[in-house]
Amino acid sequence: MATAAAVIALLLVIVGWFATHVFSEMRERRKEMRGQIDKLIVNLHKIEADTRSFHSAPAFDSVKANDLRVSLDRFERTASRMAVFNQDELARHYRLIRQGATLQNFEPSTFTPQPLDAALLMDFSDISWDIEDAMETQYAEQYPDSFPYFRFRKRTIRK
Amino acid sequence: MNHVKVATDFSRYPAGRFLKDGPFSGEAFRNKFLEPKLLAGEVILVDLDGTRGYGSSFLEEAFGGLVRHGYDADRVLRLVQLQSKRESLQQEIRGYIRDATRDS
Repeated sequence: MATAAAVIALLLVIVGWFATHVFSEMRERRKEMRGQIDKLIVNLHKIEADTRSFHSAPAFDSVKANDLRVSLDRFERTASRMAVFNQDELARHYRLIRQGATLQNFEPSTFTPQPLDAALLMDFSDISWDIEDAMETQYAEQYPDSFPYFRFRKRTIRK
Repeated sequence: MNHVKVATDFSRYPAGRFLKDGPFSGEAFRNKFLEPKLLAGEVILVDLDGTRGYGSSFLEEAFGGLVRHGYDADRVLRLVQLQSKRESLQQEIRGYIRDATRDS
């Protein structure tokens, strides 16, 4: 009888340790992921500001154009490495944000300064909001605000 | 199969739509690598990775421009094969090929 009680107590200790470990691990992962997403969103806002600045400049600026292209590439590359995101769902947003900034009015031969209320800039702002919402939605799905505060799901990380 | 890696065979900084926009424009890439192979009916594998980003105007002119120049979209999709870790790039290029209309 005493042996059975000891075994049960030991099992409870192991289960308790395991549960504590899992929740602690998930809390750390959630904090880490939140920090990475916050940085990504800061970058996204900078891309939005740079896009506005590039397209509304009085003349085509090749340095700004190159910086914008590199920033967009870096944004996608960084987001693609984050396991919290479903990359198949975000691919459409990566495409839209690149197109929004660099499909029209992106050449010295065709560049025309855009007013700040130009459709191109307003559309880009919408695209930027949409990708931010999509990232936040995916984060909230994986790390909900209610117990147990995380969900297991299989993710594909692209490098 | 013919293989072209944009970053090493063309430029790490592909930019611009037309030749007048610079030496590494979409039109230059199309003229140098894509059209000769399509004309010969050969398959070409385009590796898109390794550059410092793409402007959409470059991609549209390089790939969508093929259809505007008279190549059938289905033929282009069959002969021009894309390789990239970025699904978004492949989606975008296929969209340009499908959406482009032949210049009359």
